[in-house]
Amino acid sequence: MILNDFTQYALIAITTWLAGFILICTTKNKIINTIGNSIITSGITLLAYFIIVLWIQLERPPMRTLGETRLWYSLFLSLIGMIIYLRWKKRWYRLLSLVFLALFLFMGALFLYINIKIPDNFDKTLMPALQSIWFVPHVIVYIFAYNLLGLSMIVAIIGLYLYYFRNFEESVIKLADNLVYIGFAFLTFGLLFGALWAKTAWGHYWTWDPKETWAFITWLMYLIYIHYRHNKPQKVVTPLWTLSLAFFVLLIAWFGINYLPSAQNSVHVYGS
Amino acid sequence: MGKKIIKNKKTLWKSPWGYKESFLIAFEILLIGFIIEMLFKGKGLINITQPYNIIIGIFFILLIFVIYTYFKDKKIICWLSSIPAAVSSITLFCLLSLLLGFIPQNLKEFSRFIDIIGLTHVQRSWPMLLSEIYLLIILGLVILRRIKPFNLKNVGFFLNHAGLWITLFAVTLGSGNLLRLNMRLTEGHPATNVVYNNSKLYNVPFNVKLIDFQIEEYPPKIALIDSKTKKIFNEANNNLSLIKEGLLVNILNWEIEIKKFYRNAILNGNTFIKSDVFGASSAVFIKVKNIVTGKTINGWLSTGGLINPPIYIELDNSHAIALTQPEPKKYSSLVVIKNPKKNSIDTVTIEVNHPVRVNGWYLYQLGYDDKMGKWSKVSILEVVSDPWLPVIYFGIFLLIAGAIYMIWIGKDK
Repeated sequence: MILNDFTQYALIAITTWLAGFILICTTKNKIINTIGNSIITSGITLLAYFIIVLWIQLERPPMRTLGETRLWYSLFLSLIGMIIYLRWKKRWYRLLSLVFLALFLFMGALFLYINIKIPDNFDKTLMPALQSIWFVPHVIVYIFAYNLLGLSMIVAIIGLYLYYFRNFEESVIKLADNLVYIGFAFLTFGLLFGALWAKTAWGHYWTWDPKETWAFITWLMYLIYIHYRHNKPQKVVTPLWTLSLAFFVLLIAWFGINYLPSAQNSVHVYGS
Repeated sequence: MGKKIIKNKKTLWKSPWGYKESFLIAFEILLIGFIIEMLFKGKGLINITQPYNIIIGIFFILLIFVIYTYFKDKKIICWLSSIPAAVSSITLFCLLSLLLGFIPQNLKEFSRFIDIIGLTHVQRSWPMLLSEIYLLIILGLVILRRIKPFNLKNVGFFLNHAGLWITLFAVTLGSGNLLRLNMRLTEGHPATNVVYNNSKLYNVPFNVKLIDFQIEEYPPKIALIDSKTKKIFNEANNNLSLIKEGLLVNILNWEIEIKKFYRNAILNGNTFIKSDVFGASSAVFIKVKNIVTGKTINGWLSTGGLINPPIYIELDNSHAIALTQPEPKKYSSLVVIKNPKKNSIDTVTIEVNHPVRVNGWYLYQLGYDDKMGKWSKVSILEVVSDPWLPVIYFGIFLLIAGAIYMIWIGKDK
């Protein structure tokens, strides 16, 4: 079982990210930068390999427990961080794009580290309600949305920093806007796929299950952001704070509900 | 500079209304909702069934059209189709959802203050209904205002807004006609059309007879437990591995080998023998070796069933080895459905995630007799009627199309 070797895989991935990042930082030399990028990418590929093998060995998609979603989060964070870095390094200041990459790799590594420290019991069983064609798309679109919206939160914090301590640039909030639009669309998918699935699994598309409620609240928060930005494009402080707060609500929906008294009977609280 | 000061001095309620006025109105709507809820002593909303919900729905749509057609230039209507009004209504919805998310919901008590103002049944309360109506009016007017001229730039807007309007409208009005009932079937009993909900009985226009209820289970898992508290050592590596004959695992200081595994077995003297007799349990013969001391123990474990209690083995003063209860992998009911309306008799299998449709009703596999576990002769179905479902699906379809549009276009420049 590949899971028993998780610590090694995770440590190798984290090491490659760190090594690659240090290489890129130290010099602007093109060849060394390419080598650095390749080292980081190899770490990401290794993580992807781990997830695929785990999927095959568990005989089910590894998307059920928090630990398993953290794996995906880590994969997408490092991947998106790398893509954004490669795409934007020429247009932005080098320093800003490096800060971005560092943040992403750091968060990806952090999730791997949490998994080393708190191993979930990755068991092979899957309850009947989860055995559905909706399972994989439902979780994947959510993970994608969470990544993009997490990204928008980081952009918002950078924006707030620039606003209060440096010179604010409009391109920052424009980037946040685009991230929110795409992330929000994926959030909509997640919510609607969930509703369609719930109809076939539990007989009703919406039962105000705590996870549903909090996912809906998250959706509404971003909806407020989108409308306010559309209405007052020149205002930046309120939207940036809204984005930071919205991601906090998203975190409650993602794992905070496991600790809420109102959520103890939720159908989404697994792995007890 | 002088201009700016004048602008900042705009007094409240002087048109055009902005965010302050919108939020105040949303807050008033919330208060009115609480007051109406109190007048009804916290009983929540009553179900409005067909044909009344259709009449109300048509009236509501006409109202929005009339308002738009004749009063669209009035200041209050301009405000109702503005973004500040929209944001205030979304915020109100968000606030109610937050209350719903924090306060445990139940419909059983009506005595406490939070029950009386509707906070323990938010989804069926007057504040919720008013906030939905507020949102539907704003959304409806906005759609009408933006629909002309209809061009490509409007497509995404229309899909998202109309999709949300249709979905919310159908969910709100259709809820009165939604029936979610349970049907309890027993193997060998005659066909029945009796369903129940909160101990009230109803009849459905078809008969169902249970031929066979089947459960397929995963194997049990091996579990190292604290022999005093009976708690599982969750952090121990390899703990809770699925049982398989020949499996060899190391948990903490013990090496455990699964020698034999019988899915169904009964106790015969000191050993288990394979048997499919009613009430049999899963049994496992294991060999446990302590890596530190070299001490070896052999013995039988059992999940426990209707015949024998669970059996575990104590390894030392604080550790024991046991089996978990097997989890269901799949359960299904083979039923015969007699439909007098179509004069048909069908034999079908109903399974979790695979409902069956009869006469506009959906039949779901809901549960079984938990105490009997895999030996249950009882199957519980959920019988659902939701005539507004196609409308809701149409709304959802528009929303999905709108989301695809958003990904494709992003935020327009």
